Amino acid sequence: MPEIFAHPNPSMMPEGSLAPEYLESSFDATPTTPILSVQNVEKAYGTRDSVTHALSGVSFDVAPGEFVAIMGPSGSGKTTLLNCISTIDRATSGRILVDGTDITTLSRRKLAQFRRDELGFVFQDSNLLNTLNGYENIALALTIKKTPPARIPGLVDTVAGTLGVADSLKKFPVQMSGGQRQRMAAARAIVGDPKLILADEPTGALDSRNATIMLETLTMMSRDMGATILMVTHDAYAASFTGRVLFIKDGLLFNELRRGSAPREEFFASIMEVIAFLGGEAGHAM
Amino acid sequence: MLCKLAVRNVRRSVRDYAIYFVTLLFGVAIFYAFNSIGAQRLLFELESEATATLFDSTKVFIALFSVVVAAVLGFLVLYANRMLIGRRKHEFGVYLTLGMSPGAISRIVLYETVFVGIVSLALGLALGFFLSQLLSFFTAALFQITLSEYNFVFSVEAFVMTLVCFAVIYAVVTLFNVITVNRFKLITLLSANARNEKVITRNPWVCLVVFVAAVALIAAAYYELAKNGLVTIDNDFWIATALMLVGTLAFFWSLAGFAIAVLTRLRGVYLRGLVPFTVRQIASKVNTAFVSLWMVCVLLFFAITTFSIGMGLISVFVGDIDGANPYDASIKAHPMMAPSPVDASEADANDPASYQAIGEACATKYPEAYARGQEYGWDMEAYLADTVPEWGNVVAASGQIDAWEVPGLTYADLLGEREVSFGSGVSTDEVLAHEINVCSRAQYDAQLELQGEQGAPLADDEYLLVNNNHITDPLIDALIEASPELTILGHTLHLHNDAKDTQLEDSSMLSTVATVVVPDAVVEAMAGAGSVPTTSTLNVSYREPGPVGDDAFGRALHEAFPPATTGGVGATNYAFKSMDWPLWSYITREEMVDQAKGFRLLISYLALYIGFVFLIATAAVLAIQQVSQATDSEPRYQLLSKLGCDSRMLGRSVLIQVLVYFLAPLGLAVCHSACAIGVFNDNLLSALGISAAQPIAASVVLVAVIYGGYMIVTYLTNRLIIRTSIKS
Repeated sequence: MPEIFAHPNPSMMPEGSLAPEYLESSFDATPTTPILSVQNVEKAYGTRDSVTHALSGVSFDVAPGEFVAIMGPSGSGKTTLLNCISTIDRATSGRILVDGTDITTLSRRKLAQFRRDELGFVFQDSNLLNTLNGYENIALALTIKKTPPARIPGLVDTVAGTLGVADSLKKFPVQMSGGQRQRMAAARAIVGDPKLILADEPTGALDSRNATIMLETLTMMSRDMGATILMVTHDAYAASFTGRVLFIKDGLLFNELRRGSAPREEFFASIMEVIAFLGGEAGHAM
Repeated sequence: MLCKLAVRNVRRSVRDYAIYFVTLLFGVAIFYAFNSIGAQRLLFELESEATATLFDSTKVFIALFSVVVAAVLGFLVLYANRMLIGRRKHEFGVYLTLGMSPGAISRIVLYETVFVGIVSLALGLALGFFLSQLLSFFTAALFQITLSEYNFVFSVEAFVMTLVCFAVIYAVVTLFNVITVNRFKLITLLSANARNEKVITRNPWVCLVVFVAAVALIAAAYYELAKNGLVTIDNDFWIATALMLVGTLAFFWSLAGFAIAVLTRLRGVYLRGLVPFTVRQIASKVNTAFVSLWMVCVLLFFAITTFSIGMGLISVFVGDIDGANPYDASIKAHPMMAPSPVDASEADANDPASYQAIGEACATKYPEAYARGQEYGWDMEAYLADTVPEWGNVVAASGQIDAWEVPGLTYADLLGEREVSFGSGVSTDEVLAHEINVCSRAQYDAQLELQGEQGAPLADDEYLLVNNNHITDPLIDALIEASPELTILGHTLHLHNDAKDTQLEDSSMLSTVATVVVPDAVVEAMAGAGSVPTTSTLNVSYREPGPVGDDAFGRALHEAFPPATTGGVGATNYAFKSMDWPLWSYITREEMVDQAKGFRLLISYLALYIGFVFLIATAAVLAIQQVSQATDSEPRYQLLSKLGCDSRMLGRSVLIQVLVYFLAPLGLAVCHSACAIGVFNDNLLSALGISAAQPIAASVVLVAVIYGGYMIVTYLTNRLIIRTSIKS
């Protein structure tokens, strides 16, 4: 059974400190530089009179090839966190390093370039462009980062084959099933070989069978294709496919759960325990 | 309450409405300004009744064409409204769900339409008022007049006409809207947004076949039009029109599918940046809106062609007007109007009998004229000076010129083996089969003298070619080259090695066609053989130049030859009793110049009116479609932004979408117009020696300013929509 521990509030740590020591020391994989390092990130909304703190100082690292889930109740700040990491939103303070680059200081244009070169996205409602067929949707991730056209067909075909959507490449999104659409979106996210794939409730709109296929696809992307995936979910079942779950509550990192070598069912049970604890303490379910 | 909601709705959707609203404003303004033309004449010092009629006839024509213009504007208003209502289905669904009655929704829509209508009418009329002042400066420029005293002109007639016309349009639109809203079903309203996103794709192979067929149809249409020559409206013309319409429709139906089929195979082009997105975006719009693209293309073609051809016609009828009227007036007589009584193949230029036959034919056919002519020795002035009491007081100088037909000697005979062509619009053979006309050197010199020029240096055995009509220029060139000898009643003549371009009468155009000037002895011999002139012209100079002399001249003839019945003749002319000799008809320079000015005024205004309205209507339809597509596509741009496209990339994609969407119908319309104007140019303009460059340049400027303006505004609006949406 994996260890459950509540870790100290990262916001209490001294300013400017790098990634928390314990994460690196307790990490099983080769101790390389983290692909993602979130350092003391705060995000406040509103006017000077009424400030809402969506994030009150969150810090964590994600190592290359990791598949990490972020869980938390509605309003906990998990979507804000994802938006800050994906550069769609700007953090109020703190640093976010992706492969050593601090993205909080990049200019608007640089941010766009950063997104297309370093990130992959999977959204809840797939968000494929409905005017483009499957092939073009996947290829778009490559064309916008100026991949030589000659290389594109090979890359698209390989990824589509691996993710089991090779048959649907000529279909338009309306002609695909929900599951196919999500896997197509996953293919789009990984085809450009990004440093980090951000998945926002990728199974939220799927039935359980398609959700399982999707989660297995993401696991396979992480395990076999070396993708680093950060997934936001409220679904314990989805989270149980990952290697590590970060729990966020009231804008703070509340708990962290590592799967280690435990089977998925066991990890699922541990996640449920934390959720029950969280829910009990918070007074509402996730 | 509903009223407040309506006003707020309009203000909120001002971005969607803006282009439509501005177009409506322009429509009202142009409609008023052009219809106010009748009132403008007050501005100009009316020198004669003639100028007043110019304004009146232009006003009537503008009013007639206003029906077409109102139809086009009505179509635009209906179309834009249907589009705006359609886009708000979801909003109406929400109203219904909240318990609002369909009647209340109808009323909201009614208030909105009335609100937009009243505001656009008020602002449009105000703008139209200023536009009409600008137009009066334009009119002044057309007449080469400087406005000494300027007053603001307001046309009550045009004002009422505009009000009524647009009130009818709005009433129809309101009715249409209310019916549409009443027919709504809640379920379709609420699912409207989902259905908006439906993507139409067509089988690429079918598109390929249809596209090739469309191009073939259009090519066939061009071929038929070239055959028709645009000189008559015959079967070829209607076949060409039908083929063009069907071909153009098929072209837009298959265009997107065809383009995608080709582009997706060109990976190097297709798989770059946002190209796939941009191409699909355009394709989906073209596929759903191919009918309106077709209409836009046809209207553009019509606008460009009428504008260019109209401007070309101005040159045809007005360009040479000064050169064509060197005399104050020309009196025409036709002693022998009928074609030669003897067949050209049987007649002989050296046989006196052939000449006698002409005289005899005249004596039988026109006994009175013949008797009168013989009595005065065919001297027109002698007769007129005897018969018109005021003659000596109005006419300072005159010169007669008679054309004598040479029996059996045609232009083809002179040419011999040489081939000549006058261009496809003129039947060359018919002209060449004509027997040549000669006139005496003394009479010709008299005309030169009237024009203040020296006589021609001709030897006694020489003949001279006179021609200033551009169509027959090639004939003169060929004759100069051939330099044939002429023998008339035993007189052998050599060609004087230089042609002249003297205008020998007042006319609407340069009208001297291959006239042959021969020594006086030759004409005397023809008259001696018993022949009579086929036509005679007496050119005169007034004692008093300008309108005053012109008026006196007309009155003098009118009093001397009162018509059997009065009335029925335009107020510009004094009516007179026409006779075969010597007063069959007369033309004055004043009359011709006025006519030309009127023609220029009419054609310029019609061309501008139609050009303006058609251009703003078509450009507005495209602009509205593009802006609403951009609004519908906001989520797509947000996604692209998340995927890492910066606003510059998105802006470029928007620019390409707008450019292609505007330029595709324009491109095809320009092709059609190029064909039509080319045919027109080959058959008329180039034969008349008029360059089509100026009319074409004028239409290019018009299209560039109006259509280009709409294109730029559409691009800026769309870019703003997308920038705002990716920032939120």
